Amino acid sequence: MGFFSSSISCVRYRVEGRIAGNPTDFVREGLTRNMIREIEDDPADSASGWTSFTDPYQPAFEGDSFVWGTFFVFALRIDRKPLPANLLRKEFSRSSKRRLSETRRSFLSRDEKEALREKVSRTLLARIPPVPHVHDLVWDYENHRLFFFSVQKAANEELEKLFRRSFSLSLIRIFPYTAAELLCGLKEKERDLLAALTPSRLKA
Amino acid sequence: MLDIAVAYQRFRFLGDEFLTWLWHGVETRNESLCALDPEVKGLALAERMVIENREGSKEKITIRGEDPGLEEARIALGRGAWVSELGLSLRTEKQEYRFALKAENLNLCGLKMEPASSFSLEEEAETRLLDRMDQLIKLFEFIDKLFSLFLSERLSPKWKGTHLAYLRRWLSQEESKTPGL
Repeated sequence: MGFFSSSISCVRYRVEGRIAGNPTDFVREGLTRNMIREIEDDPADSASGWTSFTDPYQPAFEGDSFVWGTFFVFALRIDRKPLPANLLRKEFSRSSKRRLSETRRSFLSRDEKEALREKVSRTLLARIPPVPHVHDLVWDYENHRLFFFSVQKAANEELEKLFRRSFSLSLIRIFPYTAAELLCGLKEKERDLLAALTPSRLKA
Repeated sequence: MLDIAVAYQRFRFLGDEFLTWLWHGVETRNESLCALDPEVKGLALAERMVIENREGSKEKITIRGEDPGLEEARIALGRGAWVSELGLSLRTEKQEYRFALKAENLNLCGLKMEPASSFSLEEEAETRLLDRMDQLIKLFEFIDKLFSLFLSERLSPKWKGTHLAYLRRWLSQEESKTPGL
């Protein structure tokens, strides 16, 4: 679901660390270096990378196209190729029979089967078009926060990994404990109390 | 700060307690919660609530619909369950927001909001985005104020004797109002 959808979901992050030099140049370089790679006609089963917010299927980060007001605005795109197990089984069975017939043998060794399965899988993956999943994000650089418009676990994990790789900065997900630590302005004594908290009992 | 993965599990209860406290607050001290932000004119429960008991019977109850009866939820709380997802409706002078908060991670889900002002189709996407972000940030700031208030009460020495006691009393009063109990 994109940022302009009628119903949006959002995960918040705290961005740890600062960029030395010009942030826009640095972010552009990180985005360009980790831009989504097209995997059509390629045996890869998935790919992930940054893409443009406005045109996620033709990523480009020229100039300050990803700077909106005081925010950096772009998207994480994850492309996956669905390879149904039944299809793989069918193609593998056909290829096995063909190989046996060509070699006039009655069986294939375990290594031969494994190599053939890999070959069949790669051939199929090169023919299957990838399904793109686009997840928008807004990076409020000045206030060290990032809003990611997807609550999917896999997408959030990929975001955290790719963000660190692209910008050498850590993302800390906001959940109850980090909200308490990072957003509530606790004093030292309150931090100690928080660390020692145990669950309450509603039942008297 | 603790290791994030450890803290996520160790303090999971904090989100459950926050949403349960929030439900109680919406029903019993609505005006004082709204007063945390001068722009907020109303805060109400919306059409979805999830109650979970992660101990013992491991029950999970999902309540949906406009103006749902919450007796079942209260009974579950009386058995030791907590609110794990809370649907809320928040009204400001200009906007009405409907969304759900998840206890586990404070994720904001299914947020529906009207545009602050009407934009034509040709309107710059940037203007629309900045306007929406402004609304979203204000909404998060209000949620953070609620969470801060909860946390200050939770860390207070009065938590057990006063705040938790209020919660329990509210629950038992509501239970005694429920027909058939």
